[in-house]
Amino acid sequence: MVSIGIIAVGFLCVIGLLMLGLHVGAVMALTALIGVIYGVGPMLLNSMGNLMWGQMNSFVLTAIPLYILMGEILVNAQIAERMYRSLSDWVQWLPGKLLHSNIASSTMFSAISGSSVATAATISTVAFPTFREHGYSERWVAGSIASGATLGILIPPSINLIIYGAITDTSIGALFIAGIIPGLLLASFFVIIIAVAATIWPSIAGDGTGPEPDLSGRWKRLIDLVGPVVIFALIIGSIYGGWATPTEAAAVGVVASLGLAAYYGKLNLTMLNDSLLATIRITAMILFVLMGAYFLNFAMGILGIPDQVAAFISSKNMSPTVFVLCLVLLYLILGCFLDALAMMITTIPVLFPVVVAVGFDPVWFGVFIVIMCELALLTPPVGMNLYIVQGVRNRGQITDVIMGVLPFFVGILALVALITFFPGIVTWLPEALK
Amino acid sequence: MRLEERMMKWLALGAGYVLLIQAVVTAVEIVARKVFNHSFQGVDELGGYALAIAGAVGFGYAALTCSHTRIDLVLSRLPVAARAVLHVLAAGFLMVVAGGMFWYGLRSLRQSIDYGAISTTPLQTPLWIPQGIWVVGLTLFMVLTVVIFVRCVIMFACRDFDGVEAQMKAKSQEQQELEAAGFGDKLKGGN
Repeated sequence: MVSIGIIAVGFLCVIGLLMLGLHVGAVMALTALIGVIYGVGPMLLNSMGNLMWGQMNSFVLTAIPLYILMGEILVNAQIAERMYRSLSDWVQWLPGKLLHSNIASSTMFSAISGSSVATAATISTVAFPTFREHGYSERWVAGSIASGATLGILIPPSINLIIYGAITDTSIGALFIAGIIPGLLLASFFVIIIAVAATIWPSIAGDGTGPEPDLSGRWKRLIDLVGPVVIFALIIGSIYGGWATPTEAAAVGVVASLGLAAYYGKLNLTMLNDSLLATIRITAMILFVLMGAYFLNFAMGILGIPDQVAAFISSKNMSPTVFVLCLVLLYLILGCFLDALAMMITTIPVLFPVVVAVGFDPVWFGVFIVIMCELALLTPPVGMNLYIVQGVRNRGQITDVIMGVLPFFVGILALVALITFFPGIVTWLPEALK
Repeated sequence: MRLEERMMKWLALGAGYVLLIQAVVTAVEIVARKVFNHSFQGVDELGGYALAIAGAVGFGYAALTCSHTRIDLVLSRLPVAARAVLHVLAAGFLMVVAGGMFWYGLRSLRQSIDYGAISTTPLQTPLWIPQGIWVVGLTLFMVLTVVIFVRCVIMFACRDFDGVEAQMKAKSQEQQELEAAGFGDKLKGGN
């Protein structure tokens, strides 16, 4: 048996190796290797090949490249520009005016994209030009985009939820549905935060020099929202109509996005090749880390580490609230230093069995961990969304983006508190639709 | 472009089209199942193989384009010589893991051939076919990581730290993400 002290030291060593800039997947695979040799002996390594084939030859995981491909095609077809324009027509009456377009279009883009980073890149490219010259506070513009974009992994489809489901054997369909209400709640928190701030400090929403919004064509422009809405409805509808698994729904999404790109006249070979190459690169990047996690999962199971940690935690007699608080603190700290996906994949093998043993619902924990990933995307020094937004903005300091994100950070923490005290927010919809 | 870069780009593109065809076939299957009450057998099985093969080929492509995830928090704050040391170390570790994946993948393939393993599905696919292509992908991944490691060591020995840097960290993480999201070209003019 491995003592809790050795487990803690091992965990710190892994974090240390990651900090040295070694490949995340390689660190996990080698840690697993050492664990297996130390715990059982090298004989067991012979099953590694079959383990690897079993994990990579997976129809469930095929959903990952398909959702990535769908997002790539939609971005290259410039769906986001049209969506942004059309949504802007309808939110400008709120205090904070155009700032709400960032949240609205992020929310909608999240419903057709499985990645927050892609959402951040897309929305910032579309949004920044709109704000120039109208005296909006750059901090609020950047902050609302970076934060709004984190919805990408909470609102289905979501790559992070697929990975969570695959590692923990939780229904991906249920996870997708569970993400909807928290996602919409968070979007409305963001809207409220902007509206309140703009009421107190009207100057954040521009100096009033902007042109009068052209509302005459707004009914006509609604047609630009039909495509994204249909794609979302096809994906979620087919999963919940029971006609398709999440992977099959992703395939339908890919075909529908090709159709939409063709409709807008953007479908050509160059665009398709670029989308496919990016898809393969991102898929390989994710799969490599995931392979490392599977090895680590396997090794830790053999060493009985999750049982040890679970026994240790139960012996502390923590209340569930204190336990969640500890998890939030742990993820906040890890999120400062680790990439969100890497953070999620490295911690699930240890924490999932513990969390379930303590009595939490697997679907609830999936949504919880994705919200923690959202925070990780926003915490410096390694908050990817901060850098994406700054990269597109291409002027000023990253500090502006960091300061801009702070108010929205409060919204995400409020959501965490809400789902902790009312777990039904997460679990009710998937159970009602069962 | 170097030979291996061109080759991997074509292979990755091939893997991409395999996935695209997989998507179209799966979508057609759902319609056929729902509307005509007819199901092709084995679409999901082939989808699994498509992912295994695309992943294995992609590993090498991602290694070559420096796309495998690394945390560059500490790295980016070190002087160039120290960075080069860590790059060589990372290249070495990646090579060891790629070598292990190749070795155990090959063992798995050999078992399938020795026992004449077939899938327990209506298709009864002889497993050596998909596994064979998968192992080819893993072989390329191993060879490429060896090439990258050897290049890094040689450049390091010649004290060409910038060369090591170029080999291991072609782009910053956010730049990669932006490119992945389709915005690479829009940033080239920037700083």
